[in-house]
Amino acid sequence: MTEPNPVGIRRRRRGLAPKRELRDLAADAQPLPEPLDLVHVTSVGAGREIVSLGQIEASHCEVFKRELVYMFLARPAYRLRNGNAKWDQINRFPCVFVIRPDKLGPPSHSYPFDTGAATSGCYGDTVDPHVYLDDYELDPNLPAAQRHIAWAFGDNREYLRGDLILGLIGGLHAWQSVGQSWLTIAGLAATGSNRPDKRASAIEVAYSKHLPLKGHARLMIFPQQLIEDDRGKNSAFIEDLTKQGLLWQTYDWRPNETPDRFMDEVTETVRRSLENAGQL
Amino acid sequence: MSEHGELVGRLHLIGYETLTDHGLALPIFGQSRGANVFYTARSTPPGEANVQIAGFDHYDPDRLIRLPLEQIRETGLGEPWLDVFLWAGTVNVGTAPEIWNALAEVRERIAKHAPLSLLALAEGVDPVPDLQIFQSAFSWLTTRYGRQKAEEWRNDIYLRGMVLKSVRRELGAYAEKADVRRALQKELKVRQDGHKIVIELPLLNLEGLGSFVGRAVGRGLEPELAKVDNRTSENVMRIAALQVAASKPHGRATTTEIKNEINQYVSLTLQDLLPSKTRPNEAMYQQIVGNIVSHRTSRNSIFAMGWATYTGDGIQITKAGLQYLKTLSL
Repeated sequence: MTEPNPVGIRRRRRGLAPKRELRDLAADAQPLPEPLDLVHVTSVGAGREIVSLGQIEASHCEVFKRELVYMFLARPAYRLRNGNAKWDQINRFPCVFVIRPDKLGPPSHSYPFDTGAATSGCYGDTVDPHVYLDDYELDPNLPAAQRHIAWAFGDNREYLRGDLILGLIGGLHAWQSVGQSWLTIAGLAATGSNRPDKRASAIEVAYSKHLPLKGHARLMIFPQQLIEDDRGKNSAFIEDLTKQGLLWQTYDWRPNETPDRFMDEVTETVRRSLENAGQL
Repeated sequence: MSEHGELVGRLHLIGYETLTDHGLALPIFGQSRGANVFYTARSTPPGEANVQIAGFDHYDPDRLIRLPLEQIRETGLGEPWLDVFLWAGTVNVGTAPEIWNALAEVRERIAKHAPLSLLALAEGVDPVPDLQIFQSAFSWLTTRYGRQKAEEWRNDIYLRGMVLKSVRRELGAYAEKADVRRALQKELKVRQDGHKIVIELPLLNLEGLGSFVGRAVGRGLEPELAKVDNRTSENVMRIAALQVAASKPHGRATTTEIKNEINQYVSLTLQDLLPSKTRPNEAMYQQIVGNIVSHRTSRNSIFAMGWATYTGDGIQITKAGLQYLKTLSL
């Protein structure tokens, strides 16, 4: 992860029209044939609550000043909540929901990176200070996100890896500052980056409503200890999962493992699941 | 020193955060019993007996449960890893062998209800006493969730985890590099072939794999190791080196630039990323890049083919080299 810069990407002042250049750049790209699933990463505690409630509840977002549910297209990246760096719980006890987007309706917004990380300055000095957050926004629908993947990554597999099509930046005009700035930010997620930050090019999709698990979520990934039962609570949890029609996979949680290792395991499980679903 | 650069001397294990109501919990450390700045510990490669504390990182617990005074333990870097294990409302604190012994009377009961947690604890005990625990975990999963889930666990978590640990032990700090971790995740495969379990892994000279096979057989498994040779060929590396040069002003790239940027043009495998045997400070692929630039007289070199000229500190791609990349649609 890039060290936070005190100045993150700013929002454009009201009344000034955003330059949504990325929409135009991807306009001619053909959406890829297989739309990708959405991924919601949270902590085990929050994940259990979601299962018990049967839905992922929208919560207040300080950046956009509204109630939102955040997800990323295909990538299990963590989102910084309201730009706040308090994400240790997710880090140490991650759990993941894989969600089919086809019946969710249009999202509230879609951005080509984690906006929480962007506004809190996690992309450091790669950011063009004259390009505002709103300028990066994609059309708020999933075909537009798929076109963006086709334009920037070529296919779903490369998107998942974070590897951009080579030479894209050379094909942009000097005045296409939004495209240039985004490509520089997105480079932080690429293979070979010193410490790849997968949030830097993960497509963020936000919904302004609670998302019921039933009929939408297809997989939950959590630590294997949750399938054991000491006092009955975990049996109830697995029963709730079954009721919601969710498949589950586990990973090996250890107190002395690093957060990076947990994410490696979770990412590999998501990748296999997408591959089995014919999305890669 | 913590990851945030603060000096952390000796700390106390003052509490824990739970994953669930039983089994291993996350130990939380502080300078003193009443501390309000908290740390988690990092260990030497986990999943082994005799692991030690290798460092402390800041942590911001949501639900810290403080230990009673008599269970607080002082510790420091290089000292044995301390676990917190919950069972039936009791909190057990200590090294894995200490907890293992303390649980002697209830281990059978734990194995019936929480065999995965018991297996995790057992791995920290030397000699590893988990021969039957593995089998009871597999039976327990089969009874509870069906044969398919039990096999998924055995192959994707247990066996895969054992091989990963074996590789990490061999590679040391190198295994923690992001690109090495990514390649390992991608290339290590455990698959079921009828009644046979096949483990595909890169062609590595891992001394630890002998012990892995021994341990797996000890658990009633006889996995077959299928070593995969997927080193990127020198020819592919030559083309990628030309691509790096073509991306630079005047088509000139230094050897260092090629070494640093070639991974943008070729998907490096674990074997490419391993340390060179003759130049331990370099990865194998970097050594190959060095050879591509320095072996100028060999018949197949990019210089002999007329695709590049030597600049003294790297290469410059020629018109013929650019044309060659074009014929490859690159």
